[in-house]
Amino acid sequence: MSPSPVSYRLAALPALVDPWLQEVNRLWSVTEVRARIVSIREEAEDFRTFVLAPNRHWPGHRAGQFVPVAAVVDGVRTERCYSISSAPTHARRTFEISVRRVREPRDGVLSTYLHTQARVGDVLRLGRPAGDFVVPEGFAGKLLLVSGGSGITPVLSIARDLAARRRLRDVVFVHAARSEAAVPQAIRQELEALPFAGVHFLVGPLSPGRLAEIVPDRHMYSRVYLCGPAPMMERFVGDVGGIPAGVLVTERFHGGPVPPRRGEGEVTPVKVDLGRGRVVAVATTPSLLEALEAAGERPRYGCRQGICNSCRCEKRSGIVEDLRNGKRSGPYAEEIRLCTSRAVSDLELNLGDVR
Amino acid sequence: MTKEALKRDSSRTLNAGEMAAFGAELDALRDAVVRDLGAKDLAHLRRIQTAKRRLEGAGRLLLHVGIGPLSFLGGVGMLAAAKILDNMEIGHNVMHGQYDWTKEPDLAGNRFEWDNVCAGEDWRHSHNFEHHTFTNIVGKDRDIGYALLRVTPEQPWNLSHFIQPISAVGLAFVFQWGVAIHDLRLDETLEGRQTWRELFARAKPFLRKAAGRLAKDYLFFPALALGNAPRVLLGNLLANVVRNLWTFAVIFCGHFPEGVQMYPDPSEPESRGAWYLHQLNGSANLEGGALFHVMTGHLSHQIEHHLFPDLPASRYPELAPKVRELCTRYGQVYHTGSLPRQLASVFGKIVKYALPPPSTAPGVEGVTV
Ligand SMILES: Cc1cc2nc3c(=O)[nH]c(=O)nc-3n(C[C@H](O)[C@H](O)[C@H](O)COP(=O)(O)OP(=O)(O)OC[C@H]3O[C@@H](n4cnc5c(N)ncnc54)[C@H](O)[C@@H]3O)c2cc1C
Repeated sequence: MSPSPVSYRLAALPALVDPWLQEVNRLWSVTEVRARIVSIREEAEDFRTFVLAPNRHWPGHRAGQFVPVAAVVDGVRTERCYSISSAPTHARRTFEISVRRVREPRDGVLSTYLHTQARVGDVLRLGRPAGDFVVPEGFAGKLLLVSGGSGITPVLSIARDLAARRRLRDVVFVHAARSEAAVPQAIRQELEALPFAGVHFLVGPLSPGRLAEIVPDRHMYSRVYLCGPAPMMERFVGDVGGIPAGVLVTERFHGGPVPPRRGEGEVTPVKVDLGRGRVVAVATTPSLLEALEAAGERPRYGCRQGICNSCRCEKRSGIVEDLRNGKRSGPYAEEIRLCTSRAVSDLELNLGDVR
Repeated sequence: MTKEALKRDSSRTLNAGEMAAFGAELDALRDAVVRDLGAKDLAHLRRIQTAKRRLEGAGRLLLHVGIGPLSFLGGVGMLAAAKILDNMEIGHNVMHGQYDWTKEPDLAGNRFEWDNVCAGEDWRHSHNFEHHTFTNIVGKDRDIGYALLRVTPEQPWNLSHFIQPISAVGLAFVFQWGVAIHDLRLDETLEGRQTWRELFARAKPFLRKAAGRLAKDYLFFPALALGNAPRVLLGNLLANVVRNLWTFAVIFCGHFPEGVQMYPDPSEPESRGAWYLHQLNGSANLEGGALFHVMTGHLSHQIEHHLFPDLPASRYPELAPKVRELCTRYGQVYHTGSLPRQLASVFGKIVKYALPPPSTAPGVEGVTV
């Protein structure tokens, strides 16, 4: 559908006005949430907290939610989600995110940027806070908060929020760090000084069995909030260590494992989700454009050889390979060309209005 | 044709193996740039955008509050420069997807809009797809003479071509309208190959875009200027005309000077190497300094642009010597000249082909014109 002239003009407004506003103050924007880094705190080895002062578009968050954060890294806009680690407070117009520097198997793009290049005074571009990893309004039961590594962030926000509302008597907090140096000491001291039913900072991997030793009465809890690195989450999937299934609430920082590289010329189909309930199976060769057409779809195209850009569309998730240089994309949302990409994993695509 | 021109005009015919090797070398040049894209490329475009914005702001201010002819001329000059930057180094290049790799939403090639009456979506089809895929293929590249002028003997002659030296000058003054209306395929409707209904559907984005542009330059800003309205209106008009003349000159020098080849319809998709060769021999460069290159949106490097339409244009100057070296090795002519020389050459052809062809038909295969 072509937009009405009015919405067409309004949509162009931020692009017109924002650059002028930002000549005066980089925080200003007609619509975009932006935040200035007002201070940076080292919490532990490779783990630091950024105190952010957002502009007026920041709607505030609920404890446990995350926010998309974007910065331009080496010329490329890079956006990742970070859970907010501070409690929602109305008094101060700041909030915090805490970021682990990813080094394995290779340096992560945005986390490395935030650790090595971001400075106090820099402006980050943000999305709106989202996520269901929240304690329901008016909830009054016993709570078990379990986290591992950087997974502490949403759980910490929940704990701080409960502390601000003096609701800690029935709350137990368990955190596992991978090493002594990775224990966030200041956070530990802050929580240990609060009247929780229990605060446990451990070193080494956390399994359902180990949790059972620390919290023997865990079946008494009406909600268990769990967030940690992928291997830890896998250990708790299916076997929640005596925690009834309906009680467990989880937050994942990473999607499933990246699928292995498929052989050249192999035609194993992958699933492509085109939205609005349309899912088609397509071959991983030759190009996505041809594969989609073979599957009966009619995406928009022009030259079919990587010149004209007509077949550009949004990839919401999944991995593709650039046929011209064999480079693999990340699993994140970005725009791709159908005629010079092939599917490597299952994909979600937004083909827009097909002509 | 002079002896020197004859020598210049003869690119060697490559066999299939040479063609593939030529293509592979160009692919390698492309990949090296792609690997190196980064902060400085985005910074360049952002600087140009800032310059454009400030020039437009200052230019409009001078037109609105200035008194006397000097501030008027200054205002027109700055506004025209802003429009040229917007259309060429920013708009044309961004709409090619040259900055898509930055993933910046405001630089997405398939959504970008420019300060021009030609709607972005129309441009993307006629220019990015038709013109860049079928460059100089007579009958397929509708940009050859913009369906108005006869610039090669292979275009059929008709009566209107008699006055084409005049209509070319006319087109130069209203070039943005020429480009926009060209995309509507009015000629096809007149010849009965497109219905009026199709024409109207096609015209919608253009009408919307043109109404917006007209309202901005000839209603909104003059109204804002109150008593100064006539001065602002005239200034905006002149700035648009300057932009039109400049873009016309640069674009006509890209494909129509003496020596550049026209092609018959290849009937089936070309190989990568053949497409590269075709682009190379169908384009011509302009010589000049760094500022000149920016003001042409680096279309002064029409050859590199046609070989690598989706690489950031600011990379063309560093690619040019490498492409030129390749041309020497593969015996290909690298067409280049100064703006006045190429412009004179194009006008020479416009005058020459205004006349009906002699009765003997010229050859077909890769005719040099
Ligand atoms: C809801 C949500 C909340 C989150 N909250 C937090 C939080 O509070 N704190 C926090 O620190 N993180 C959080 N994350 C994770 C965060 O969004 C990022 O995923 C993380 O910071 C890594 O991003 P990156 O750009 O540094 O790494 P990326 O560059 O995206 O790399 C991701 C991983 O892939 C690997 N990798 C990259 N390229 C390749 C390749 N070519 N081959 C093999 N492996 C490769 C990297 O080594 C890394 O392990 C959250 C994620 C989600 C979804």
